[in-house]
Amino acid sequence: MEEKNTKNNTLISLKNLSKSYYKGSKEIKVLNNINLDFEPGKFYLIVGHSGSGKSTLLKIMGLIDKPTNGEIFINNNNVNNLSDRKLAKFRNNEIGFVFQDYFLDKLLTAYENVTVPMIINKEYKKRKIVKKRALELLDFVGLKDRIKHFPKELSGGEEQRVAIARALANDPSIILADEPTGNLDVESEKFIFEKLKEMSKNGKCIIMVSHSKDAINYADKVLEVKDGVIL
Amino acid sequence: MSSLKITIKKFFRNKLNYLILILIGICCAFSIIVNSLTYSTKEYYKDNVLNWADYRIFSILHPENREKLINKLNSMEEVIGVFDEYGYYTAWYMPDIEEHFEGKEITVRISGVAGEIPAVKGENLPATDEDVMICPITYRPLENLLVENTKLEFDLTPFIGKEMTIVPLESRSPGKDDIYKEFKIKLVGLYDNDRLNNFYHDCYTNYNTLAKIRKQVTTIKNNSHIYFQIDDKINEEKVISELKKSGYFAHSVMDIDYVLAVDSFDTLEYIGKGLFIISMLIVLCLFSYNLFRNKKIIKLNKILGYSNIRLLFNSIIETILLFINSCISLIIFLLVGIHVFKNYLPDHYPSFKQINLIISPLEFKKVFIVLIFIIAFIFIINIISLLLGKSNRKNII
Repeated sequence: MEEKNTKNNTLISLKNLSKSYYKGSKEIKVLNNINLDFEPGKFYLIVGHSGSGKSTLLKIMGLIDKPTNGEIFINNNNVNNLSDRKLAKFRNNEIGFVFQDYFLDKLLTAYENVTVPMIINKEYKKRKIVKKRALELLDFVGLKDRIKHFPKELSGGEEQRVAIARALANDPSIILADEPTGNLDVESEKFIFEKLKEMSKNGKCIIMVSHSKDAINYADKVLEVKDGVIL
Repeated sequence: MSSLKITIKKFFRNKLNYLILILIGICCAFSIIVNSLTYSTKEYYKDNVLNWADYRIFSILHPENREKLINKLNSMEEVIGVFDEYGYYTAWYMPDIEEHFEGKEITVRISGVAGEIPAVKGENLPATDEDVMICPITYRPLENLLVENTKLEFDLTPFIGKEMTIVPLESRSPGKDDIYKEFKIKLVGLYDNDRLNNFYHDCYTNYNTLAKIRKQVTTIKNNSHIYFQIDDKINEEKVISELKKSGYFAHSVMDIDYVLAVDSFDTLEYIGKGLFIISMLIVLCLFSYNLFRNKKIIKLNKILGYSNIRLLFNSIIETILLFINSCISLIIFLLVGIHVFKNYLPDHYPSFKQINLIISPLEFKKVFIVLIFIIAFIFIINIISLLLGKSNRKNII
């Protein structure tokens, strides 16, 4: 039986979350007793120095890494003890990822990259539905005319827009973005932030790690991580 | 678009896969062709050169009991002719063709043989004693060095069916004109000495015919050899060992120069094997490089929700694609290789003209087994890469 979180209107809830690494016998605490709630329709910005623990926090919320202590609730479900297969399914359905290095499959076109999460998801059985959805998403990020282009034929900004379209493929409730504009010019950065903001207005919970000064203008809430704790 | 379709598309879009397939195709085809070429050459020598009459003639020196040995040889079904020095061979002048060589004395060697010799022009040399001979299609005089700046080869075709004069060497010696003798022997046909790459001045007649003529010319004082001819080179070991048991030591009268040719193919075979191993190692390195280069994509796929079983399935599909396309690549390069061998090499290396390239099924089998091992190894690398992707997926951010 999965444990339920009692709070309403909370999409992600972190309870007494800690993460430690061991270097030999020495314990290094990366996150220390974090308690946080994330709501849908909000744009969260996580800031902090390099090594402060913000990327680890993002990994744990993305179910890529596991906490040493504490619990994570997503949609009121405790996801701490899910099997690898269930976690994979959960990530596919509920979480969209946007990375600093885009991580597009270089052997697939923009269109094909967007379809990958839908192909994994068994709910999208009909090719027509996948195609329609992928084209809609590429249109949303302004790349409808570049669907047949391979990543090497796109600019960095365009690659990141494809990555955003891919993150939205299965209509997840959470979008985790790790330095999504770290490699982009000002214009592309503005476009990406605006799109993320638009997505949050559409009900998505956007959690973004960024060092950009302009990012704060788009965020509903700013969380500063320092030495493994939220200030 | 299905997961299978994506995997197939990715396989064919990866340029490194083409390099791997080309390498596999070239090295496997090269290996098969080189090994088959060695096999074909050996077969060719076995079927053609080694079975030529001269290579089937053996001699026994100073037999203790001559009559007993002759009886023994005649009783062996593999032995098709037994003769002495008179029937073996000797050199003769051929005055009929001297005018074509500025009047120089032109010699030919006439050997006595048992059995038929096939002709490419005219008629075969019959197995019976009929006062006829057969000569090479490409004739070069025995003393050709005497004839400088003249065409060394001579076409004997116009003499087919005609009686040719032959004069024993002894009778033309200075001061021996009083014993000058000439004989007539009909040239029935020409045999193909080009495929033998030898015997440019060797005519053949039945050993009885030769013995009959020579006995009119000379008396051999030291007639101590017994010669015999076997039906097939394949029986050489059997006949020699049987004679050995009876206390007779038989030796081939002709050195076999094929060893040199086959040795050079052996070297090629070693080079082929070396290249094959090196190429396969390169293939493995390229494939490993390809996988580890795509490690992040494997991690990403896991983050996006691919289950391990799904990734394993993709990996199996990739391996099957690699195997099928390796086989296709192998067939293409094999066809190209055979085409080059048949149409290009003989023009530049005439010795290849005679050899019929036989693609040995055994070579196919060997290469196929190696290919399966390579593909299996690649599959294992694939699995390792999946496991690495699993353990390191958190490092993607």
